[in-house]
Amino acid sequence: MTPEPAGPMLEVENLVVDFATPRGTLRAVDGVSFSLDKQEAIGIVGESGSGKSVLARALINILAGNGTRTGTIRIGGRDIDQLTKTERKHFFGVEVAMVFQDPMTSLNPVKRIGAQLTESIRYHLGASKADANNRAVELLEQVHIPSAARRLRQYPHELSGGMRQRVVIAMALACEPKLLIADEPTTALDVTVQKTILDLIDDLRREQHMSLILITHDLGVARGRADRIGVMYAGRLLEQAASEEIFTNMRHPYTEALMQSIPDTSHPSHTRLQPIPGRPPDLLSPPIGCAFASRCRYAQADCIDIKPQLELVPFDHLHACHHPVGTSKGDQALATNLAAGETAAGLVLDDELEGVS
Amino acid sequence: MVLVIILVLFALLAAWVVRVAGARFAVKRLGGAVLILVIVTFGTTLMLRQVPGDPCITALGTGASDEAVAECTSERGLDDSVVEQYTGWVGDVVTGDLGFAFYKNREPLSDVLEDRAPRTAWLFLYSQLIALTVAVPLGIWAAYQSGRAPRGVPRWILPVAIAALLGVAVVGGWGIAGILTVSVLVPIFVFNGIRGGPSGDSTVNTGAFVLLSIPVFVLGETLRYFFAIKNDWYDLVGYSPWNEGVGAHISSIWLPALVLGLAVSPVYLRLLRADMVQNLQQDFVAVAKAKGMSNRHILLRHVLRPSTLTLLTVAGLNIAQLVNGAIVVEFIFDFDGVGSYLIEAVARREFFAVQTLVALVAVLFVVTNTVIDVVYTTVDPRVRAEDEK
Repeated sequence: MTPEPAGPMLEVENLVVDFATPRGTLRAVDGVSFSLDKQEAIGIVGESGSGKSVLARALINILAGNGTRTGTIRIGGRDIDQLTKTERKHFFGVEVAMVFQDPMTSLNPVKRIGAQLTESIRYHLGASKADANNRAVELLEQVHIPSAARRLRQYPHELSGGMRQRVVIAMALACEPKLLIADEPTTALDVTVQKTILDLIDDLRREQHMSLILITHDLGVARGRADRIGVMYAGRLLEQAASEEIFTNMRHPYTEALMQSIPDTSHPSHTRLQPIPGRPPDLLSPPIGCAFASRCRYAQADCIDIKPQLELVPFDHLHACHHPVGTSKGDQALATNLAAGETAAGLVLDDELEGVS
Repeated sequence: MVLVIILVLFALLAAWVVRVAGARFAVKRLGGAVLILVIVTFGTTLMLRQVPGDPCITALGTGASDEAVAECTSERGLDDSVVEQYTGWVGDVVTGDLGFAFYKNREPLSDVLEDRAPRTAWLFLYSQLIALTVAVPLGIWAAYQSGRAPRGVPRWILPVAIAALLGVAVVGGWGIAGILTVSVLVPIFVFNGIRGGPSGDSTVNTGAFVLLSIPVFVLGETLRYFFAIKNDWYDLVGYSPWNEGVGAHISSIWLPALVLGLAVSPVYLRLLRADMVQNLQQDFVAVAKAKGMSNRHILLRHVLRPSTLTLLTVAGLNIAQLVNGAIVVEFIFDFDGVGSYLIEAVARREFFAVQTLVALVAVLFVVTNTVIDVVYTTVDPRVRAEDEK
């Protein structure tokens, strides 16, 4: 074993991912930077199309053929673009592994569970067939699949969705990765199964001392399972802070809007959830200023013209907003907009919905 | 002897079908097969009787006496009703009496088949092998390239190469065909092949379309002219069976098999490529990539198998080519196979021989497609051969 290099598990610097499409260049990830310590978990939260999955795929180097990536990604201190050919062969899938969104399609329907579990063990670790099979049984037991040995002979369609996601997780763990990326691991599952799968991932990462990137559209999922939370919108990280800091002291209006769309059992029943008006911007022609401006209740003229940069505020809290929530600037901006009945971007503020916040 | 071997093979096949797909499926399929055979042969019988011309006059010639024709007609039962003729023929065939080939020379049909069937069978087998060896790697390659960024080969190389080769062609005084193929088409194919990416994929597709639009007889005549007449690389001496030596056998059959194979390969290529492209979009491919598996492993072990279902179906239906498609090729290469025999039999109004041959093709067709249905279940475990209610 080579000694583990010191430093953080993952460093992402100014990551940009572009896709060449027939309609032009689409910037799916726009200058994302963050780092992740060993054994730390970060939750990346954002709605559909915010670039979360593209970020995940860029990290494990499986972008589609029309995608290009710039910026630096260092995993375990090693720049993934500087790997030699032989290092590269046994890097992805070994150092870093990924759990995908939909267990119904993540497994090859015509291959037995055993073959899919053992192929990476045999390829990366050079294990014999028998050893790989023993390891596969071990892995299935780790993810709490009953009668593991028998499952190896089964095909994916013979298992339920929850069981398949457990197999997908076992597959990701096969080569004992130090960094696990879970891309919406429970979105396609039954609500009753979601919690058990999330808890399983949480337990496994603590037991196996892995770092975790938990990608989700649900802030509630990330809460308590991630040490830090990053909020992503239109390809950018808009806010990043420790998990509890985000929940108690959110700065970005988008984060606030996401919070307000989480159902909360402490609210009286029949309280309306506050939807976020409008849709995310078209990434083929992104706005000049803040990408959220057109949907933001705080938007002022400068939001439309000037793209806010990430600012570091106390408690290791990063946000990119001209008029942050909970500051005098933010309060003033909201008061102005409420008085005018609409924001600088022309979003009409409906008074009826204001009662919740 | 041959009959015994065939029967043993059938028994083995039936046992396999029962084992893989269950007895119910086997019985159902057998029942279906018998029904198909009855419909096909009776239909053929009926339709043949609508063909103008008297078989006996055709056989004996227009100069034959009325007595001879009448004798022939009654001997062959052609004055009976169609149903009686049909049941009589079925009785004969089922008891193993295939009748004779042509009334005039009375060569037993079983001898004709023993002589000719292997030619057509080998021709078909080799052509399918050639088609698959051309189509499968190219299809996989094209599908893989379609979703891939091209390699950074400078574009100016292509016009430079074409210009250089054109210069050589002009100086060397090549013919127009040589200029076109060697100095224009080959550089384009090589360039796009090295460059890969979507243009590599579309080059393969264009090639497939060109090949697909060339009629078999044009391809056959051209290659025959080039290989057998212009050059001496293929001997037009007809078929040599295996027992005359492997070398003689292969050299007697390779060109017709190549022609037939090239004619069907673009179909296989297109089908495989389409299915592969579709399957390469599947999540399990991304999962396999994230696991760090090599491209070769992903293409061959993950994507190829689920992509062969359409290919298998069409290959199964292609068994009809055994007679239809082979006719032209057999004709071009003077290859006395079953196809050319069938044409002759129809032309001579040899009703019973035609019926027997059609029945044989139908049996082959049903058997092959049953086998393919069972193979589905091994290729894709989600498919079940038993019809579920």
